[in-house]
Parts: sequence; structure tokens; C-alpha cells
Amino acid sequence: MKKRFFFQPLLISLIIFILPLLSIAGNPLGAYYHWSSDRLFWFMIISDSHIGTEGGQETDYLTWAVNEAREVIAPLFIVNAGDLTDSTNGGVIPNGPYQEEWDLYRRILDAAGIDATFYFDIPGNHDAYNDADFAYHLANSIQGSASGSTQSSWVRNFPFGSYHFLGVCTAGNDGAPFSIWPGDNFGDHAGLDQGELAFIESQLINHPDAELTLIFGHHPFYAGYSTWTDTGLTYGLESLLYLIDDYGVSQYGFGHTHDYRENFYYDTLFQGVFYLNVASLGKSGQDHYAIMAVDGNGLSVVPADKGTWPVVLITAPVDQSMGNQSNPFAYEVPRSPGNPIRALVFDKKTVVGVEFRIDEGGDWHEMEQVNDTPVWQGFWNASASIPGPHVIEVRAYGSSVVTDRIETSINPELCIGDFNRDGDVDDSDLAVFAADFGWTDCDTGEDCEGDFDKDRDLDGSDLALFAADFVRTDCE
Amino acid sequence: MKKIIVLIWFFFLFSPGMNVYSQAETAEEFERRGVDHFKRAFYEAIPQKDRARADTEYALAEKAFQKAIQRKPDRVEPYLHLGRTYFVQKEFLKAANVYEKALRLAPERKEVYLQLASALEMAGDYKGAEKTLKELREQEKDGYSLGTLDELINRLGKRTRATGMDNKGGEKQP
Repeated sequence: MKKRFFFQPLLISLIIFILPLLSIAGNPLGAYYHWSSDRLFWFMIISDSHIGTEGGQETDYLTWAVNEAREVIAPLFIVNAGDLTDSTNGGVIPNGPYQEEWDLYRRILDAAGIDATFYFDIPGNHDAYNDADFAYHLANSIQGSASGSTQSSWVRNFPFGSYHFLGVCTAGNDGAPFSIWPGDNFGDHAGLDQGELAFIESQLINHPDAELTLIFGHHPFYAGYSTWTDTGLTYGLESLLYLIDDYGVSQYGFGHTHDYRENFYYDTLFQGVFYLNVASLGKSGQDHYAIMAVDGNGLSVVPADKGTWPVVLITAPVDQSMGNQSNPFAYEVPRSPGNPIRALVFDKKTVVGVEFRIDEGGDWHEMEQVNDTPVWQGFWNASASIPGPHVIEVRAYGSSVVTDRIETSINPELCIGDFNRDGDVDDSDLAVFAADFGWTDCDTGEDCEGDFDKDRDLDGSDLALFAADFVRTDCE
Repeated sequence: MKKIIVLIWFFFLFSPGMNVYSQAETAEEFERRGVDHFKRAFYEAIPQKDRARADTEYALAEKAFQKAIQRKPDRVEPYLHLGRTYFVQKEFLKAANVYEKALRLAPERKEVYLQLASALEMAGDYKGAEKTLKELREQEKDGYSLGTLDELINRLGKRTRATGMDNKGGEKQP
């Protein structure tokens, strides 16, 4: 009996304090500069399709997104972050739901062969007016009709790790009609109730091995993010922020405002979260969708206009300045003779050339397409570059000429031979280098990690660079 | 014996006491029943694409709300339910008519102006919808709400001008 008294508090303490630490689901700070493109994937984000708006672009644009854009971009999946329908059926005041709008929404998706393994649609306020039980969303949306739930959780597994995604239902659960009165929680009563939060936490607990965890909802955290008419979460925000912090969530992506904005949200968060506001596919005049990439666990994103090609997204190095804010999850790059610069280039016509340059005034250097994929890669000889910030531009020639631009920073203290990223260059790194030493066919797709000068072999010049770092234990 | 039982049953059914009890509860009971029928139609049958069942349930809902109004003509809620029932069946003029009655009973219920404006707009009476929102605007003091109302009024005004329909019923001006 005494033993029970002793062990019970111990067990409770273990559950309260230790288990959450063990079950951290992601690590936003885990981004690393990888030498090849074999740890890269991408997906599309759309939002606010607003099917049912009278005389608008919404039907054409959703049709385009799930057909032409999907074929050209070949995303791993598509997220639609809510306001799937307009709830006006061509009127001015959202007073639906209207089955006609949902029928049209499904016709567009079904005709494109969209299914629940590929398309993750979550409800927004326009999908929830006058529908407390989300009957129309559950009967008609791709995810709702497949799972019977307003929230989704999905995972993508690769040899280099597992990635967890959550679609959460921030739309109000009271079925309140559209309101124009602030005292009545202007617009809608957005939030996450206990049941919704419990689902989110259970999914985070169930995926402790995720390299990154990304959440998508419809609303911003607070009202007035873009304009005074924007609503935000009115309940459940504090709990959501705890979960984001406790489980190392990297991103909260949302729509609702019809504006595109990249930001980092800190407030009470220990390390912050990437706060991505996607514009409206159905109603915005630009930035109709976004492409997000994960490369070496680093996030990159680019907004794009419907039908404008090519779309260019630099994925490595990771941009140190996203939305004009310092990216706390970015890494620095070494002063190496062969720093890889990688970009995704999507175009419905043939891309005839891609090139990069450093610090805006330098020469343009050709990049090469990686194995008939949208990935293009070049190498920056940074051995003579000064430490500190640098600008990288990638310019693609296809249907038009488009340039993407990022900021990075050279840190000469970084070791180029620390293959396993354990903070030193030791025997384990030597084993990796030695295994490839002597190879002369690095241009045939082999992943020659030790080809530091990128001359397509592992020879004496690479050995000299490796030897310079060998036995260092202060790698950052 | 059978006749006696039937007589007792009739006595209870039509006794003044029972009638008083029914009169007191009937309006709310009809309203509740109407809401149940409406929910079955709008949230079950329509998303499940069971049009026939929806029509039956809507008809029952209408009857129930009309009974509720007959029992207590001064209660606003049954009018709002009936208006919504007409609205979702696209009987917009009927809905507008019911919302107008509701507004006469409760002019302080601001949300009813929005519902009436919606019904008028859907009926093609953009000018009527615009006028309704302008009436609401006169009562409104909150700056946020005024901003939204102005936007809605502006959009309705554009429709009125674009279609050349600025009389009730959506008919073209000569």
C-alpha cells in the first residue's frame, strides 16, 4: 500500500512532465544545408476558393488549379485552407449553405480525378454559416465526405524522414449566421473547441517521429490581421499555441484575409512559428496560390498568379529573410568552393535555361536540371566570399523570364566535412568521405557528398578541403 | 365496456383542461416541430441529395410554423423560421413578405433587416434590398458595422444600376 502512495505521484509526474518532452513531434530548427536534391519535396496551397460567387473567377481558377497547375507542378498534395464555397449563391450576403455551390465544387474536383489521398480541404467561415454540424462540408467536401470529420491529419514518409500535416477546423461550431456586428463577434465565431484541440493533440502525440509538423487552418490567430474586417480565433487560441510550442510545429498556414503574407509569429511561443497567410484563389487579384517546398527540413514558399509561368522557388539555401523578417529556422552556409544552389522551376512550356548570381551585381552562372525533374542546381564557389550576408538570385527562362531572390549568410566557422551534422569532423565523417574517394562519375546521379569543389569527382582537391576541417570539434 | 373506454378517452381529449394545456403549449410545440422538419430537410435530405424527402419535410415545416403563427401571431421566431424555410426553397418573395412582418413586430431585431435584404436581393429587387440596408444603416451606430453596411449597399447599388432594375420585383424601368 505504501509503495502505491509513493509510485502514484511519481507516475503522474512522469505523465505530466516527462511524456510531453518525449513526444515532441517536429523540430523547426532542424533545417540543414544538403548537398543534393534527394531530400526535397513540394506541395500546393490554395485557399478561399469561394465557389458560388457571382460573376467571379472562382470556378475557372479552381478548375485551373486542379488541372493545369497540378499537371505542371506535380505537387505531393494540395491543401485548400477553407471558404471552399461562398455561401451567397451569387448574392451579396452569405446566407447559405447552398447545395448548388457544393455540387459545383465537387463537379470541378471529381472531373479532375481529385481524391482524399491528395486533396485536403478544410472548412472556413463561409462553409459554416448556418450549419453548426458542418452537414454540408461533411457531405460534400473531399475530406469531409471521406472521413466524416472536419479535421484531417496526414503523413508523408520518405527515406530521409516523416512529415506530418494537420488541417484544423477553425470555423465556428455554433452555426451562427453571417454577422456585421462587433458585439456579436463580427463576421463569424471562429475558434477551436475542446474536441478539436483534443484531435490536434492526439495527432501530434501519434507522430513523435515527424521531422517537421505543419498545421493549416482557415483563420489568423487574431482579428484584424490584414484589414479590420478579418476575424480571428475567438476561443482555443491559447491551447493551440501551447500545442504549437510543445510539439515543435514549424508552420501555421491560413487563408481568410484574401491577402498573401509571410511572417513569423512569436507572442508567447518559445521559438516562434512560420505564419503563412495565403491569398484567395477565388477572389484575390494576385498571389492566387502558393507552392511550398521542404529541402533538408528547411521551408521555402512562393506565391504565384494563376496562369503565369514559370514559377521559380529557391529551396537551398533556405531564405534567411521571409516576409522581410529574419527567419529563425534558417541555417548559414559554409565558405565552400561548391555551395549548392537549388531551385524548383515550374512551367507548362520547356524551360530553356536557369541561372544564378550572387549579390545582384555578379555574373550569372548556369544551373543544370536534375534528372528531368523541376529541380535545377548550380554551385557557388564561396571560398573567396566574405563572411556575412549575401543575396542569391535564380532566373529562369521559359514562358517568360522570372527571378526568385533569397538572402543567405556565410559562416566560415561551419565545417564542410561534417557529413552527419554532429558538430565535428571525425572518423565517422572520414568513413563517408573515404567510401566515395576516387569516384569520377559524380555527374551520373551519384550522390558524392565529398565533392566539395563540384568538379564531379572525389580527388585530391576535395581531400585537401576535408583535411582542413578534420578533427575540428567546433563545427556550428 | 368498450364504449365506456372510448367515451372516457374522448372526454379527456376534449376536456377544457386538456384544451387549455394544448393552447398554452401549441405555438412553441409547433415551432419546435417545424424546426425539426426544417433540420431534416436542410441538413439531412438536401446534402444527401434526397430532394423528395426534403420537399416533404419543408412542407411539414411550413405548416408547423404557420400553425405556430396562428396560435401566437405576436411571436417573432416562427416568422423567422418560416422566412428561412421559404428562402432555402428559393421562394424569395414569400420569404421577404414574412421577414417584413417579422420586422413590423420587432423593428429592433437588426439581423432581420439583413435577412429581408437577402430575400429581396435574391428575388431580384436590388433596390428594395438596398433600401432595407439603408434603413438598417440609420439605426446603426457602430463604425465597423457601418463600414460593412456601406460596402453591401454599394454593391447592391451597382447591381441596381447594372441591371437597370430599380423597382420592386426586378422589372426593368421603362
